[in-house]
Amino acid sequence: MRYHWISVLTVLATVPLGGLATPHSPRWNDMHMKHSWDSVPLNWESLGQPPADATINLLVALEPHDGDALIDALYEVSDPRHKR
Amino acid sequence: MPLLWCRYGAHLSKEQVATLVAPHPHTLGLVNSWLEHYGVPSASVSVAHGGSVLTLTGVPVSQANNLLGTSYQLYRHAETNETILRTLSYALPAVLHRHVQTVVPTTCFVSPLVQQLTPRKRSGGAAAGLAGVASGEPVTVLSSRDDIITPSYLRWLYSTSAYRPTATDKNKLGIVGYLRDYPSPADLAAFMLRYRSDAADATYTVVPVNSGGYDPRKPGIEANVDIQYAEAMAYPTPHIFYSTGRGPSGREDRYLSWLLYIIEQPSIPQTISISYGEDENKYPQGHAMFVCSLYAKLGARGVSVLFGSGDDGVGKNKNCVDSSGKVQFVPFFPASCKCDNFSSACEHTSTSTGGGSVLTTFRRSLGH
Repeated sequence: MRYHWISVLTVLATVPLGGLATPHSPRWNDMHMKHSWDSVPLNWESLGQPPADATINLLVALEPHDGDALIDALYEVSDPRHKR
Repeated sequence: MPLLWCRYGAHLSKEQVATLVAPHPHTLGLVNSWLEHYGVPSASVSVAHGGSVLTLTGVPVSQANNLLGTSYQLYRHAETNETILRTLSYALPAVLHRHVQTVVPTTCFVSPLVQQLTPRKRSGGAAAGLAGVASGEPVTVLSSRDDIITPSYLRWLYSTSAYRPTATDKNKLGIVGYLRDYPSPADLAAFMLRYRSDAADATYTVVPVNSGGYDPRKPGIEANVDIQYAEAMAYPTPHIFYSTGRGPSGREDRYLSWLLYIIEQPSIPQTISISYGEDENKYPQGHAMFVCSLYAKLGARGVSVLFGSGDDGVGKNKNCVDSSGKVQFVPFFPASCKCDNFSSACEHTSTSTGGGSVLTTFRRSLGH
């Protein structure tokens, strides 16, 4: 708990980022599930882990700074009756 | 006065779209700190699409497991024997959840090879006799069947029988194909001779995407049907066939490969037709939302993307169940990908009651 309060105070004192404020040292091991299946999807079977030297290319899609801007723009340019 | 600020038709450029969807600098900083914490070298991280997509190249699977609190495994598809590297679940640090839409590939098991083709029952017959033959001989049974959708019927249905496309020096029509499904120019010539003899010189160009191949001697039914019917409707508008592969690794997502390619292009055909789709409930929600946002980017740039909505109307008999077994219609994705589905702003501005019903369906069916 003590660690927790110290983090909050640090943020309030030094990072005035409003709603986006986070601790200077985020708890990277505080993992929360992003998505999961209850079972292996139909028609797929596990072959186990890949070879130890296997690599993977990952794509990380980031949220836009304004979640509505793209769709707003899409409607504005696509709908002749749009108010803008 | 309103016309002065009406933005209808004022389509955005690639750069303008990139600005719209750029992440907050704080998002980028946070994600970079996360990658640094887990030892992902910055040299393997590249930024694309205005900073909205990070690509991590050559990440050891053990490191990816740590990064995402998961355990990647190889999975094989029972019907196609295709193997893919996926996981049944993945996690992110709590602080990242509202900054990261999705990580790919993780839990999306849509088969690269299994495809659910769009309206085959009625339209397939006419071209199926040609597809795969490359012989130029239409099947004679066509004229005796009354359940065949012919180009002349479609042109009558859409009142375009007398219409001849204009601005063919500016307009283009794109047909997207995946994996080893190619059209045949010989089959196209035979089809047009039979059904649009006034357009018998129809042709198309092939653009390979992500190591996609092209062998017109081995045409596929889907690619043939798609190019034949598009040409029969839109001739003499120039046609482009995108032959999409799965990249050097042979394992990349087919839909994403093409999307990530096309949104990087400064100039894109005004109309794109994609005749592939899957049941929406096969898609993790974050993944589906990401794909939808890429289509929205195309829309904002003035590109109309047309999808098939399936072969079976609202669903096959005894097949209308969601992921929990509850009886309900299963939408087809990405045909179900309306922008209403992922923007509260659109919810409030849309006046379409149809959009509302789609929204409900989309949200409900993704609620797994």
